[in-house]
Amino acid sequence: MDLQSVYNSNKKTIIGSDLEYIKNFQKKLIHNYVLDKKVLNHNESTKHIDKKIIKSINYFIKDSKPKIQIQKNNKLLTSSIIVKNGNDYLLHNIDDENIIFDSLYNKKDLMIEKINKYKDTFVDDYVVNLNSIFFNSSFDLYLRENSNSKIDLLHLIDAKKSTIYAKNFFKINKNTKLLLIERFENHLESNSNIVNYFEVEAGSEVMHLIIQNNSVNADLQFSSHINCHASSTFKQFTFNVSQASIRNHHYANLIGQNGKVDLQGIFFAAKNQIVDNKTLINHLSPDCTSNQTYKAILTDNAKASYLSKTFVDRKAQKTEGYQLSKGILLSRDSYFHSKPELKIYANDVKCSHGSTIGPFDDDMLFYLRTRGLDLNQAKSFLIKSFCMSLLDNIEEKTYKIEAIKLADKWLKKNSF
Amino acid sequence: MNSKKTLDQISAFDGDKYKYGFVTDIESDHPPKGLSEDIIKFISYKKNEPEWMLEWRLKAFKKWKKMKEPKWANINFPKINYQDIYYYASPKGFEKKPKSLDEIDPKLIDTYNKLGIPLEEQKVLAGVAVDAVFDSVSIATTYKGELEKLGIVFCSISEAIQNHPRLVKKYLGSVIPPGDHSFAALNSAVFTDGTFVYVPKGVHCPMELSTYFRINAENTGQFERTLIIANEGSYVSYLEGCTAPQRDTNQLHAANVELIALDSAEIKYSTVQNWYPGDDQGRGGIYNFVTKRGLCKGNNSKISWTQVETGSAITWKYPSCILKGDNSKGEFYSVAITNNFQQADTGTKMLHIGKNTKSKIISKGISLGKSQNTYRGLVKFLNRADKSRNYTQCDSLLVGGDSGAHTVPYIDSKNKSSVIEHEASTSKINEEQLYYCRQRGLTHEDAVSLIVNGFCKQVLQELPMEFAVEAQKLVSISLEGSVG
Repeated sequence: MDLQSVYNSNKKTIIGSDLEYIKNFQKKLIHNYVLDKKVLNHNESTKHIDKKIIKSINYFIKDSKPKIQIQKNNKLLTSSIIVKNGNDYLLHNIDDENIIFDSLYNKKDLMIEKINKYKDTFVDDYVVNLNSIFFNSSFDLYLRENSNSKIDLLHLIDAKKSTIYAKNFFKINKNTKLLLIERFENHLESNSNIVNYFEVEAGSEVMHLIIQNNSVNADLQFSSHINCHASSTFKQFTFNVSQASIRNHHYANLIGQNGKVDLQGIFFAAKNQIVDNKTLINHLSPDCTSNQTYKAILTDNAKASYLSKTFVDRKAQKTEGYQLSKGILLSRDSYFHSKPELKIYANDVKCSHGSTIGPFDDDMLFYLRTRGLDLNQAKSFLIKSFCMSLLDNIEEKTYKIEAIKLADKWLKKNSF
Repeated sequence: MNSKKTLDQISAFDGDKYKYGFVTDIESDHPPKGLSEDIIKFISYKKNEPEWMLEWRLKAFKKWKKMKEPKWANINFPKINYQDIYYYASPKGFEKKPKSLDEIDPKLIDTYNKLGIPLEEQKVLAGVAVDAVFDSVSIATTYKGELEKLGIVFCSISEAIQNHPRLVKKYLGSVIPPGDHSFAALNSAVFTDGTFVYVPKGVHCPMELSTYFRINAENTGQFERTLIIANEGSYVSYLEGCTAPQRDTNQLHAANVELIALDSAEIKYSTVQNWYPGDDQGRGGIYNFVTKRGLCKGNNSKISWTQVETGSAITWKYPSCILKGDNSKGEFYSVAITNNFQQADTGTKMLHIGKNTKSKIISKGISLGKSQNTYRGLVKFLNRADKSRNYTQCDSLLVGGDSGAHTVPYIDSKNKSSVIEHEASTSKINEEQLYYCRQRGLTHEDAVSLIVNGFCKQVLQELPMEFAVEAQKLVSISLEGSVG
């Protein structure tokens, strides 16, 4: 079925299909959505992705009308949001004092304003365009000035074959601290296409920790767009042990002076998985620093890519940009593609990138074997230490422990 | 030392940086402008080519008509009007290549003397044999006789088509197929001259072979084709230099270079590319769209590319190695300096097919003025390339405030036992180094020149002696007027 007819027959559940502005926007995107050979082979949003995601479009959602349940549990210190099937929200300790949560379903003006604001982000990204066309879930999270919050955000699906196309907006006001732990734990056949938009105001600090642990066929395309204003910090860490096709595309703009962005991640892939990662940092102001580091562990027939890019505008003097990608290939048929790109128009900068792909270091393996570890133990040990060197930079202990446990589980389940 | 030389060099040119910008006033012969089957037939007729060669050209032309120019490079230029170019220009009286230097117009000999390439063999530096290509024809090849004694064939490609058709037929287009991309197809259809080298089994070529390319006639494209074959266990080192007159219009240069190294053979290919880069307002200059590809066909073979790119308004060039034979090696050393409005998108491809293959890439880019300098490279390990290795280092130095330095590496691995290492950095000239040099009494310009020369040293030292000195001077001259 083609895109237009899928859209027409599901209009009821697509947000904005009754609003002139969004409808026209969607119409334009459908018109431009032509997947010819050129797009499939050269457009960076489609080149490395599991092609089934963009080629065969199925659409199903239980309900796009939001249901919000609020629970107060004083025993729990943290706030949490559970999103089930895209539109069932269960909130714990989300009070209006510091955190204001709302679905955008009933706030049409605000929705139009947000869509309009971000319409020029992810241009030419076919996956995000799909998200805009079939847009069926959305919330807005507003953090008040000078607050300090920790939020657990969990995405769940209990209706088989659900397709979630969510746009979530995060506004972090001045001098605010946010620790956001976002988890994906989907075990049913489904597809989630989620885009997060962060507006990090001056002097704020955001730590965005992600765990992706989806089962086979619970595919996920997760994108973020981050605007960092003066003296703000945004740190993101993606830990992906999913067994499905996953796409992680995270873009950040350093708009204000003295901003700092870290986009880091570790991903595992096995069987016939296709994992597609991209990070992009636009340095648009002076004195900013950025770091993009991803590590990959691949086995069986897994195919993975990591594209990273640092763009430095002519104005962005005194920039420091760092990129690193490291991949370990554990099997004969695994494949890793990496493209660490630098585009620099300012002359007073320090930018570098490094990239390595290879097997285990035989000397290290030998050393561990001489200490009494068997081959598998030695390999697991090295993989974990490969991850730890990056995880060690994260202060949040529970996240680190959870990540290592998941890595352990992955290592037990897969052969290498 | 360097800075002293630089200053001398600069003052010697009396403020005019591009010393090769003169025009040789010589009548030239050319067919009407434009590209058509008739022009290709004309070129083939002029070169007295056999039927199969003409057919090969026409086939390539058919392919070219269906193709579009590759668009992915980071360069901007107005659309090339292929019908507004002369595809063949030859100095008058060159219907047949002169047998000795006495028959050549003295103006031509003068031109090469001015360029620093004396053609009279007795004057030639010992150990360098030269093939001089002027517009579309090879005008002289030196030391031919001496090389022939060893069985080495060193001649223009037109002569090779006549005298060694079997070799040409077998290898021409075997590394760069005519349908590879639009510039390769264009070259295959209209190539006019170039060099052919064949080194027989086990022969170590005793001298550097070299070609000097010169574009003289206006509105002329130069399309040369070079084919080098190194048979088992042989060695050859080949140098290439290029210049063109200073003109306000852009000229097209689309060359194809194919190298084939059989078992245990080694080819070393060095280029100092100094085509006219255009003036400081971005007017004129050569559009340099070059395809260079080497095939390490045999086991234990080696191909090494070294390039110093200072000229051309646009450089689009990716000397590559296909490492097919087991244990074969590929190397790429490059210095690319862009100034004023120059645009360079250059790099390499290393395709690892055979087992235990190794490649090394060292690329240094320096951007000055308002220029854009891009490194673009591909390292690919195929499934069969067990225990292979690649090391890549690409560094960029930003000197001009309005210039850009970009790095676009593609890294692909399908083999679990292979190792790829890649590192790159972009920065401005280190203040501390600059301060140290200034403190020792060097002027700002000298200090920058010294640091830049040091930055490029890793590449420049790979050049054969005769070129290394020239290249070092060229690096210094390219910086002139842009620092301080």
